[in-house]
Amino acid sequence: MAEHSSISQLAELLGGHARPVIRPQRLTPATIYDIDYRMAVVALTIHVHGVKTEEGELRIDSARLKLFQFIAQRPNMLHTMKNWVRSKHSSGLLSDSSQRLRRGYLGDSTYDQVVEYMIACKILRADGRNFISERASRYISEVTVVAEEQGMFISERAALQELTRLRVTIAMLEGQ
Amino acid sequence: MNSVTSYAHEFGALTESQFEVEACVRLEHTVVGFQRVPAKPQGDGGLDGFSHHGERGYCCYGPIPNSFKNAKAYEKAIVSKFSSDLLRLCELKIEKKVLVHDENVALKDILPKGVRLKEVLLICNWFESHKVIGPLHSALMEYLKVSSSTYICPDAVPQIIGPVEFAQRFYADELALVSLQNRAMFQKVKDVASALSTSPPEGFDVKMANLKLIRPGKEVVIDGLAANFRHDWRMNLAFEQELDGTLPDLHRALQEGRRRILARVNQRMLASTTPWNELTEMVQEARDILRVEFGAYAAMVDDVSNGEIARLIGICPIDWEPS
Repeated sequence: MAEHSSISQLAELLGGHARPVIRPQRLTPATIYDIDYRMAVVALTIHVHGVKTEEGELRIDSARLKLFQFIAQRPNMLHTMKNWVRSKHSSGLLSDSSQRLRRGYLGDSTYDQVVEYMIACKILRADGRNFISERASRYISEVTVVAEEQGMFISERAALQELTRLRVTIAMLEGQ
Repeated sequence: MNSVTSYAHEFGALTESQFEVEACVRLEHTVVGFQRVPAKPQGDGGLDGFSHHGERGYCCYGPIPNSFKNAKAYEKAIVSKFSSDLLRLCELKIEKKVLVHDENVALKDILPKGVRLKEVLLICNWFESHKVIGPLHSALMEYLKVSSSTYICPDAVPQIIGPVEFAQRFYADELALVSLQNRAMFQKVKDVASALSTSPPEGFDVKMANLKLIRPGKEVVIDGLAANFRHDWRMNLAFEQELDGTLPDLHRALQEGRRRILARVNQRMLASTTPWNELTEMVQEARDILRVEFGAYAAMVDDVSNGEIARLIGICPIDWEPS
């Protein structure tokens, strides 16, 4: 195995000629496991894709939120998303490229925990198949203002804007 | 969705060489005596494989669906490709709209001596139009009238099958489905890795430069090592990307595996009197740690484990200085 032997080769080269310097440190976890980051992306998704209710709250379909926040964190998947939309709104010739994307966002259990936490923090509440922003919480509006003023989450916000141009139907969200 | 339907769905989504390879792998598993025919470098003579001692031939075609404007264009491409294969099997070519003999040199060495094809299975990744059936049957009948019939019987018949028929006929069970998904994922990771232009952090190059100072005269070996590490690293990164996009829970498991690998590297290297020997052992240990969650992706675990150690060398924890 060439790759295995390259580590052995390195060990041979170093043995007797160099002493190791080990820097014990914690491995930085990926950003997608950072609760603040995840909450901010969920808030931005609701801000861009939520629909204002008569009471001035923002309402969003739970499946739409799960899918869009997933894409926002992975802008490289926008292309797959566009293909999925195209395949739904054109002839049956385009291969159904959505399977892997659907498997991905549906299996995002970290998101489920983040949303549960946001409900516990009274930022959101569940209402049937929708999530509604709690009027008393200013979290969503504050995150949006800070992100815009300080130029944060640029790629995530760009992906969310791009998603507004795609026609994502209820049938697609229901896996049909 | 049962396994046949799921398999058909995933099989139909494959294109070009991936489609052909998957078809051949499945046929090797289910048809006794199936013989694959390599296309390179001498050509396949129009056959991707044969079975039944050479009496049944197989031709595969997996075009990219998005490259066609409509169903008509797709049908036309299928008829054109398979007609071309049948022409070659009949040792013919079209010159000024007339069929003329054209020796197929490759088939002489592919089919068993004296055996002729009685049936040709045309396997396509899309078969949702009956409009390809008539033209292909008619084409073979027309070709056979003119053919010298050296490698194909005068009464040979074609049969066109799509992903659903293929899955039903060649017993696509759960194992076939899992194997197909793994192969597809492995291929995807390899493709993504080869396209990644990400270079390792500066620290990696500094370490390699230091190594050259420590071991003068070994520059070529060290450059080779660095290239291998970069390759492993890219595979590791591509695997991580794939998991993140399609299997987020396994991505989480990978993060956890990484944490355990780093802890073990620290423990082993700090405790050992021959720390460099621990590196080789660590690759095996990384493999064991990752196999717990990623056993199903066995083909990738080796590359990913090597990549993980390469990553630790690159991102900091393992460094060296002259003794």
